Amino acid sequence: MRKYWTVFWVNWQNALQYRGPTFISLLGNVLRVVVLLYLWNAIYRGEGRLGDYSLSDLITYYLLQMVINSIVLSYSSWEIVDQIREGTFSNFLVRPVNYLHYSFMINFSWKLFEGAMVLAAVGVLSFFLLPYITLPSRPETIFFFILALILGGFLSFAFDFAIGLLAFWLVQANAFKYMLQYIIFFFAGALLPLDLFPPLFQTVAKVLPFRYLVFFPIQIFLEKEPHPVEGLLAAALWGIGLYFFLQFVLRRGIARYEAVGQ
Amino acid sequence: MAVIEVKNLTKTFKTHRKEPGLLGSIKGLFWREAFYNEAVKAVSFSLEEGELVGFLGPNGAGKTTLLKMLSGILTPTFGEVRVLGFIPGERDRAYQRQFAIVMGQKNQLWWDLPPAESFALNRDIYGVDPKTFQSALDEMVSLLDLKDLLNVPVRQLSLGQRMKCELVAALLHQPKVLFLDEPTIGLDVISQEKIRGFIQEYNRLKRTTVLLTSHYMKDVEQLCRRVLVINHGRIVYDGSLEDLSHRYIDHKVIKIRFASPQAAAVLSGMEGVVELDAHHAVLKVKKKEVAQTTHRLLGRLPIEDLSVEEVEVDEVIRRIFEEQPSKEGG
Repeated sequence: MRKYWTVFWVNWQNALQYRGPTFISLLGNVLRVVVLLYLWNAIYRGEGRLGDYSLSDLITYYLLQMVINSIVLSYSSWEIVDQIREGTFSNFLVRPVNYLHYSFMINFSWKLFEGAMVLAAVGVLSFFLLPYITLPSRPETIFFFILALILGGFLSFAFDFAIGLLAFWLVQANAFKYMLQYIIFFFAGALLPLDLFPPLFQTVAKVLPFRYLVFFPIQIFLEKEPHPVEGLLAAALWGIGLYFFLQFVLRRGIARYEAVGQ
Repeated sequence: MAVIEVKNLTKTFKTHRKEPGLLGSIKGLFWREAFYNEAVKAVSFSLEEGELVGFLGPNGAGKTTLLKMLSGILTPTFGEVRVLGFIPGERDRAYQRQFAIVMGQKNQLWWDLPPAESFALNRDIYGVDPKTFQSALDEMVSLLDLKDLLNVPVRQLSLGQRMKCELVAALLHQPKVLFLDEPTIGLDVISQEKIRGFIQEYNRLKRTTVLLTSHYMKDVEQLCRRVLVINHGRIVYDGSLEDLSHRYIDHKVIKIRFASPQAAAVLSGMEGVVELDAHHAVLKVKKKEVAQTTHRLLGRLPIEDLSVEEVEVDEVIRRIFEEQPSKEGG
């Protein structure tokens, strides 16, 4: 276990090297939220209304979406695809280390690092936005919300890891990667709250596990989620299932890598 | 007992031919012509503990494929490999803790961090206890003169410094077997020299079994008493470098510098002259005729300087490669 904590800390040092770029991309996200704020403000002042959402619900939705973007959503597949395609993946085959666990720790350390930065940004933003934010009324909401973030983080990593493993079979994995990532983001509710979509979409989104990444935690925070406990349990089950699935796919991928070489 | 035991090892890659252009790509989705490429063919050899053996061969000869099969990165299509009693393809943790592979073109150091961080990571991945780690590190740092570089980000290191650090990272767990794939590739002469010296010293001190590939003759000449020459996937020679030249080369080279230009005229047209101008000449002479020829030349010509040299190993190798044309054809 100790080795994976070292992986965590080494990548933490690595992330620190990127604090500049991370901060700048965060600034971009903040800017986007500010623009949305003006947009929704104008729409709602013109007596417009989106589904079940009050103005402060929507502002809160996008603010949380920004937080989740940094804390939950994984982009491990970038590195995984590169490592497999360029053959540096071999370094993991010859060392006593499990690639799934290793990649998880790398992702975990990135997410914590970005999380710290985004919380600082949100802290500053909320001075201006406090009147617009919907805060939870029940204390257990915060507890459920944090649990949902953790599970969302697990699941997001699992999906992205699976996407990265495509590189074992596809030479041009990157094109598929973008397509799949957009589908996941879409059904996660990263673009628009899922309950604003037509009923058919909503049914599909409900069956798919992607909503646990973004939509589900935010609904918990807004106290709009009717079954938080069931949802958390379902997310955990998905996580466990995906873990075994990924270990299996990784073994298959390695078998292919061993045969083809790089 | 042999540390490395390879019997009848064969690796065949299945590849597909793709017709050029978009149409070819679409066609390729439905029907592709498969063809097989035997990268390594029925190779057998074994290495004893502490040996330092060089793999020689041109690009694509199968050297890297062999090393990859020995480290468990590739599985053999056919045949047997055992290293330290393990089957590498099983990737037993106990095996992984006892060997290392350094690939000159595939780095494992973290680009944006000082090498010390990568070393610490390997320490914990291999479960080396801190004391052993520190003494192994100190020893290599002084051998390679890396003291001032441990805390400089890898991206700021020169290629040679980086290669030294790659070696350190690979050796921190004190492997019993070390595979080096082109460890000096792209390095300047001085760095090559340093790395070579280190490998030699390390092998001598630790009795680590080392198998290295290189296209630089110098590497092999200085380091390896035994070489395996591989060409088109087959081992064509297994033995010492000296025997290699005895077996394949039956002549020596005589180099002459003339004291006066008239001498050149005498030599022109003579058998065995490979190079000739007004000031010097190079002759290829059968080994048993060297003494006689030298004597005759010195007696007859105004010669300022004369030397008798062995044919360079480079040329020996080139000979071997030319002698063994591919019979498979693609």
